[in-house]
Formats: sequence, C-alpha cells, structure tokens
Amino acid sequence: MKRKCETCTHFNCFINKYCSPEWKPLINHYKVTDDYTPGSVIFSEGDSVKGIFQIYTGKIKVVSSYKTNSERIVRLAKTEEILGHRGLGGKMIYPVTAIALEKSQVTFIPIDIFYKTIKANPELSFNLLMFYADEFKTSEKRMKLMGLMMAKEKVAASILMIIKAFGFDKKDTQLLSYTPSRKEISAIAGITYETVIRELSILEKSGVIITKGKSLRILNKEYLEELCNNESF
Amino acid sequence: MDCRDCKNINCFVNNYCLPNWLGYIQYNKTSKLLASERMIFTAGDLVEGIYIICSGKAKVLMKTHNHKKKEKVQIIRVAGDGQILGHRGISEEMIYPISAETILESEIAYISNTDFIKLINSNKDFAYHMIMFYADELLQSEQKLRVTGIQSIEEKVAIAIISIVNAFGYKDENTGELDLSIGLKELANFAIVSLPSLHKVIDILISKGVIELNNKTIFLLSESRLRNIASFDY
Repeated sequence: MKRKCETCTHFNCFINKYCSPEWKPLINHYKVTDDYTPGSVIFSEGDSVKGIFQIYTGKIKVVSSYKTNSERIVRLAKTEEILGHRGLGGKMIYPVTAIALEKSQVTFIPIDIFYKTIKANPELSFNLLMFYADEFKTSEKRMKLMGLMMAKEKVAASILMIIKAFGFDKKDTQLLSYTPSRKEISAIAGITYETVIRELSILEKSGVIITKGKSLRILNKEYLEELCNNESF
Repeated sequence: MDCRDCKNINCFVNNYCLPNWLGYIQYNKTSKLLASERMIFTAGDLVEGIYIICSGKAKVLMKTHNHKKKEKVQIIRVAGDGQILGHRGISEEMIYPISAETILESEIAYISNTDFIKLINSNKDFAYHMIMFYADELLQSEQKLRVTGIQSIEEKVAIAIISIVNAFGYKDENTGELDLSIGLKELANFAIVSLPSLHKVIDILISKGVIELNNKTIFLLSESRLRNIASFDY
C-alpha cells in the first residue's frame, strides 16, 4: 500500500514541512517507496541522477571511494532526511554511494517533479538552499580539520559525528542509539581498524566511554568535544 | 552599475530575478569600488549579507596548516564578474570561514541577508539556480579536497588552470590567451604545488602542445586535452 504524503506524520521531512498542501498529492502520485535490507545499495557512484531520495525509516551511510579502494564515509543519514543531493548539479552523476545500515524504507521522487516542486514552493527552496550551505561548510571544515588531527582526535570527531546523526537512545541517554561497526568508524575517521580499536580502549581506560559489545556508551561528551576544539562536524 | 540596466549575463540576480525585483535590489544594495588587493571580508567576521562581483576579479583565501603545522594562506577559489562571494559563510553559525580579496580593481555589490532571503523567496528561478550553484560547489570542493592527496603535480596544475578558465574565461577566445590575472606564484599556491614544480609542469605541457608560453602570457591550445589531464568532472 502506498503511504500518502497528505497524512504523513514525519513532520521534519522537507517535503512535508515546506511544501504547500496542494503539492503533496502530486508528489504522492509520482513517488516510489522501496525496502532495503542492511548492506543493500540505494544508488552507486557513477550512476546518473534520476531523482532525489527521502529516507522514510532506517539509517543510511554515504560512502565515497574515489580512485582508491578504501571507502570513506562522508555522511550518516536517518529518518526524514534527504538523500542523493550530492548528485545534483554538474554532470548529474552520483559522486558517492548510499548503502543501508539497517532495514530501511526510502522514497524516490523523480527529478523533474522535484524541480517543479522547488520552483513552486519558495519555502522548500529556501530551506534546501540553507541545507546545502550547511552541508558545504561542514564538509570543508571536516576535510580541513581531519587532515591535521591525531588518531585520538579523529576517533573523537567520528563519535561526535555519529551522535549528531543518530543521537542517543531514548530510554538510556548515554547509550548511542546506533553504533556503526568498528570498521565503519575507521571509514569515518580515515584511519585503520586497528587504530580505532586502540584509541577506543584508551578512551575507555580514561573513563570517557564504555564499550559494550558492539555498542558504545558515552560518559563524557564534553571531553570528546574538547578534543575537537569544540568544532562541530 | 545599475541593476535595472545591467549587461552582465553571468550575474545570478540579473539573470534570474524578476524585473521589478531588479529595481528593488538597485535601491537596497550597497556598491563598493575597491582597488586591487583589498579585503572584501575577513575570516571570523559576522555574515551580514552576500557579495556579488559586478566587475573585476577576486580570490578566496583559507588559512591552512602544512605538515609541520605552520600556518599558510591557501587560495581556494578565484571568481570573476557576475559571481557570488561569501556563500561559504551562510550556515547556522553565520561566520565567515574564509577571507576574500580583490585581484584587480573591482566593483562589489553587497546585498543584506534580509534582502537576499526576500529575493530567494520571491524569485523561484533565482532560488533554483542558487541551489544548483551550491550543489556544484559542494561537488567540486569535495572532489578537490579528496583528490589532492593522490594527484600528480601535472593533474593539480591542470585542475587549477581549468578552474581559472571556468571563473574568468579567455582574454582572447581565438588565440586561447588566458585571462590569468594572478601571478605564477599565486597559480602555484592555487594548484597546491611548489613554484619549481609549476615551471616543470608548464614545460611538460608546452612539450605536449597543450599550452604555449609567450612573454609570461599563457595560451591554452587545447582545452579538451587539458580537461582530460585534469580527469576531473569540472
């Protein structure tokens, strides 16, 4: 059954929040929602851009692997967020790959419909513009700072990035609501798997975090922020 | 320059805003005439509006550190007439992460944040093209930063020259004379290579017949071959 934009309760979705009511049935008509299992690819680097994606449920990682075989995670996204915006502009080819981290539902909106929606809804276009501006600035800042950081600071920055993307568990406010695998953390930080393990155990010894199997518990977020000079990622 | 009677076809405001809005901008913008090498805004300043280069050229500077953590000023963008300056400042914090300086004598128009937001909300084509502009900038910046670590000096120089062609165009289309405006030392800085490396690459490119050097003026003979060397989706 197709979910309707008109009755959607995801109020932070760009479409739901910023489109005028009369546009929702139109988007509804053209959108396609697909299910993705963990590890499945939503779009790949090099694919041509046919539209834009909106995450209905689930968690997604955006990965780049330009010219090298090692992957780097450039973004983590969750429910209600937009996906595939890095493909717009230029040659309309995706520079990144999006992969589901857990079972996800993602909605696809064809590009011509999306363009029409932007042009007809000034509030949407304005907020999209601000979203791009923010993404742009964060991306440059991250790349600039990451180059200068020590392994320890890189791990701290990666944990902060995960917190910013997915937040803490609703019942347990110290536990990360989703902890990527150690290998994925190394892909965010741009360091080896072994270094991540080492740095995490150092942080655990100094009482900043507690590891519990795969998941992480953050005891001293301020310390992590201080390590990164209070910059946000 | 008067917005109502502007001939600049590169300017987003001129191209995509409705005629009655051009009149509004004309009354509400602030224009400054700046000599060469003058600061337009400085990193750390509060973002109170956006700048458009009506005529002239500017460079965008970012403070970085080299591997010895020594401070260094890096040219990250060059912009020509009609282009927007200061869009890197717009975000939650509203503080400039970079500085901008004129290369030549320039006329710079300044539009306040409130007017800029009004423009976006009332001119759908303008808003659409601003979004595409940001999308492009994001793409280019990520590619550039990601790639700089693994490129050869030849690729780096090719990318720098292509960026300058994109920003300034040619001085003379027929001969391929570049409108370089910045010196070779600054070109080396922009390409993130040393000056001797830049000279080496220029010699290689001349021997390949891609460019020609005549009295410090660079002529680009084959833009497509240079783009191939850059292997970059610019």
